[in-house]
Amino acid sequence: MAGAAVAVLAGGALAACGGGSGGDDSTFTILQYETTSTAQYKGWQLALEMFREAHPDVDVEFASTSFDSIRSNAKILLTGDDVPDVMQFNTGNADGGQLAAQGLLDPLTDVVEENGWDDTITGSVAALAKYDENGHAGSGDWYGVPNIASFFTFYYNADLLAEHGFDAPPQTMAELEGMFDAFLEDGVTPVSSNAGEHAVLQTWWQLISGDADRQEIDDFIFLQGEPDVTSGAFASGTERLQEWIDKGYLGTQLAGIKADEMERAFIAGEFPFMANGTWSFSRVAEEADFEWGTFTFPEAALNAGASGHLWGVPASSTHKDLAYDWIATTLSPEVQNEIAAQGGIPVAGDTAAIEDPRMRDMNEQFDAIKAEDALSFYPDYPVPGLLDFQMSGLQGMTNGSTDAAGFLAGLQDFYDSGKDS
Amino acid sequence: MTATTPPRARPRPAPAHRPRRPVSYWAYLLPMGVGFGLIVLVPFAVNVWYSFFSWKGGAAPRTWVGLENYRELLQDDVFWRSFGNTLYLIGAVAVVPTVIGLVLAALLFDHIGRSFGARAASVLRAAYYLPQILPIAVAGVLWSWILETRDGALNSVLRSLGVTTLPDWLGDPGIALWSIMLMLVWLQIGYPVVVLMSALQRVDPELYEAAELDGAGWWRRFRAITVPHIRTDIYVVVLTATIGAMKLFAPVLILTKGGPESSTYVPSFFSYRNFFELSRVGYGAASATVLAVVIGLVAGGLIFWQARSVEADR
Repeated sequence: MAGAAVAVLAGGALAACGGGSGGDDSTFTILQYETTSTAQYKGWQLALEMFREAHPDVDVEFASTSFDSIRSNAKILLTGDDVPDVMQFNTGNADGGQLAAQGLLDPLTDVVEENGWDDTITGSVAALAKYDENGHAGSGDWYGVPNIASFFTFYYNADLLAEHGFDAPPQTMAELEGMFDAFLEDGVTPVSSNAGEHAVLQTWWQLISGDADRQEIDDFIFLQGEPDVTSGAFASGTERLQEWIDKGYLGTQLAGIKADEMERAFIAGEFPFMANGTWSFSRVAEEADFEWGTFTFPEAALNAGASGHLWGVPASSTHKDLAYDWIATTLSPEVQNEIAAQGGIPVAGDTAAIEDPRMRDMNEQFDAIKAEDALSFYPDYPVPGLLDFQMSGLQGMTNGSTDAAGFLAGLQDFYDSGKDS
Repeated sequence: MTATTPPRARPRPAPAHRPRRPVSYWAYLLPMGVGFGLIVLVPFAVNVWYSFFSWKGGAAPRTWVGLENYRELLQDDVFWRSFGNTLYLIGAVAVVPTVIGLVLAALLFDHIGRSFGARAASVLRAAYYLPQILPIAVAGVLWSWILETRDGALNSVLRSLGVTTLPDWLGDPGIALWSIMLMLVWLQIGYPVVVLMSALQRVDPELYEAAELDGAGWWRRFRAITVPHIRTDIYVVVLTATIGAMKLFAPVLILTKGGPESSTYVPSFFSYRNFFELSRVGYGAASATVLAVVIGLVAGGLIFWQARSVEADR
């Protein structure tokens, strides 16, 4: 009876979130959760066309759901009877790692090697596609294949900079902070940010990454050794964030602000800078009516960022060969270049072929980071629940209810207990 | 939340020689029993069973840990704080709206209804009820716009009134819970108004006329006639709203996700996070079990108290 009840519940959940995912054996089902305005989604429309042409006798269903529904329901979905044949999932130990460790996804190492994807997707871009038997990223078999990447960066309003006497973005950290001070003196808050969602969190992680070396970051992200987050780059980066908050670089009352409000304020021309991921690119490109550009954090050793959501093949997929072929189609030069043309950062694209100068610029920044193996991932990956802990702690820092040292001490405890469980 | 018919007062003790119920009597109860078993009892039992395991969900191994999850729960500050927050939410969902709703219902019924006609009263009643019809997701997004720090409607109004230090409604851990409560009062007020207005129609108008002739003012009549006559209905409103407040989830998810600084956690959100985001299914199940038991106790207590006071009135 319990089984029946669970099946009914799971069926209801699928119908609600999958938009009728799955189907009979003759249907090949792709399940994805990118919204229609994103570069990947647009690129995949081309992939879909190519795939249908190559397999005229296959009934292809391209089902969409939301990021949150996959995060919450992937386990129920994949243990049911009606699983998609190929699906998108989130990177990190808390998400993809769990699915891999629970045997819900198939290892893909052989397929990846056969297709030579490991030649283009390497180093820190590949790290989050591999999971060991405990679901920890960084080593083990390939369980997913990324299509795109993202990184954390500065957007600047060139018109506003010029108005205040600056004709180019800063080259050094000292120059950047000098510009911040100058704007503050003119009564302008320099950086549009938010702590209601993730911008302050990513800024914090970027300031740490700027001071960190590869080992320090990898130890923390991949749960190696005994990371001490109360010293080294963690301490210096967090103290710098504290300084930025105290000086008012990021503005006040940040905890109540969300990403949308932050982007709108930058696009409205109220702030000279916005620190956020490359995912804001499309919106700024579409809506900003001033001269603008992007630059990575100056003098940073490493750069916050990671390969994007992954394509995976569920263990109970009934069309595995087609699934591999779908992934290969999304990694084809045509689709990858289409993603770049739509404002995304493909993992295997041809940057020189991009016509829009801003998009090319952003892709060149990524190529440089990739060449130096300098992606430092995102800070919430290592243990489940870290995202909420860090957000809450950083909200505390922006509200003044905790300080850098207090936040890091708490983080150490949370990290250690999460690591052991 | 739906209005339910008021439960009757506890039946008098049965006579000594009650005839045995025929088999067909029980057959009528069977569909209800099966439904209740499938939808409530079995999942509850499964949930209790899961709470004795350490389990990440899905096909992951399940390890028996006995009462360990409950032991840990007892020491979890966030869990207890979330129960503390529930007390505030009971205020915002059960107490304040019922008091305001009672006064509004009485005003609509015997003031607006008499002076401006029954139609005016029912239009106003529908208006108060409107937030209840609105999907909670829509209401939540609406309020997140109203409460936005920089250019939300509320702060824009305050700014135009000359207020310079504007509150950070959803970002200040000292205020965020109150902001959610504000939304809940707005959301909830229509429910007592509708239930209590229909209750008022049962009160014999002659009582009011007699009291009026004796010179009793509106307040006097309200206290001496209205409130005692619809007491059972007030109990029902308070009971259902209290249960609603204790399992409240969506407004927190939409407005604050438990933040800032974990200041707006509620028990059901705590369970949700453990189930789905932290992959701690056993621990989440334990917290859900505790919540269900607490709600059961509170609801039982309220029903007992209601039955006793109705009995005492006789």
